[in-house]
Amino acid sequence: MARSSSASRKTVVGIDSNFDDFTLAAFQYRERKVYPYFQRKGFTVDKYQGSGAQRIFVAAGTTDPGVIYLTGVGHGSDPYTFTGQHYDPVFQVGNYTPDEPKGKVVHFLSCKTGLRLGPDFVEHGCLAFFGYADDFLFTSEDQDLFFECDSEIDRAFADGLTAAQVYERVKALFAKRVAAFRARGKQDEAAQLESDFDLLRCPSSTPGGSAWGDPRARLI
Amino acid sequence: MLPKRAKRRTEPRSVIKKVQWDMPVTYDPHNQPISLRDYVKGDCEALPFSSLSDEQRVALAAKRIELRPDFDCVSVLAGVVSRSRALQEVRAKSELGRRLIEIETRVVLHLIDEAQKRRRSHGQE
Repeated sequence: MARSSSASRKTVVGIDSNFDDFTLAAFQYRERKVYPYFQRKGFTVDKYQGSGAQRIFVAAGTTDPGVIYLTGVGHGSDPYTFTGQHYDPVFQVGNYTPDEPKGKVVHFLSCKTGLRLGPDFVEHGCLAFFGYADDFLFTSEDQDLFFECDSEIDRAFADGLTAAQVYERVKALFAKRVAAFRARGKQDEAAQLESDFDLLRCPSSTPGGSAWGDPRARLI
Repeated sequence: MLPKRAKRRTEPRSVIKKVQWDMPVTYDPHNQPISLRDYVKGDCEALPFSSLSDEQRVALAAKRIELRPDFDCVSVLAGVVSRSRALQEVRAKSELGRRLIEIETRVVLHLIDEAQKRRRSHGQE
């Protein structure tokens, strides 16, 4: 576990597994492009990565005073669970305390957690949840473009936008990258990215979006 | 859904590579594949994509994956998806397979739309 600082006001908790090709690639991207961005914006970042991405470490950290945002990459083994290192169930419906998501915004790059875990978090006080309803697909050649689109969620929240504004900014970036793929003749990559976007679940992603929280939720 | 393109073009034009022109986008009534090039020329009896059966859509997606020179797909759930794995998943209509079929469907519909626009505006491609 690499915990970068003690908890303080405006703390972001990052939970990143890195034990296989996907999680390692996403972890490395987030180390380069996500956490430094939060730090530049004045947030404290507490990271639970690699072997630290296990429930035994994370659970206590999420309830520290000042924690307002949870973000991470990990496998969603089913719609009920966000897993950490080696599939350790970090957050699972029915197996976390309400204080963990309460009063926080949450974003997971993780399959299927948008289906059940997200709405369950919101029922237990999570302000807004961003996640995917199915498998997140990407290409190895252009993986950073896919991760860039997903992590625009983090950057937009760091910029102080509301969940609804975050969704609009993320939608615009996805559309821009889809168009760029098409301009390069990469039609399958474009369709993959477009399909990923359609699986994003968050407060304003669908007419019934309230299941994923409040469109007015923000960090600042 | 992502926003549709504005009336005035504000984004780069979608490029259709030669390999995409040669790939099938539908079938004729005798179940023979029709390439995008032939579909747009209009000199063959092509079934509209919307009228293809589920089995034809599965076969079409599998054929297109077979023909892709640079198949590249990583699934968060399944890891690196090789071409042979993708074909198995598509033919088995597994969860991942259905997703790949859906993606190929998006590609086909976009290509048909783009190609037809060009035909209308230029008379040929």
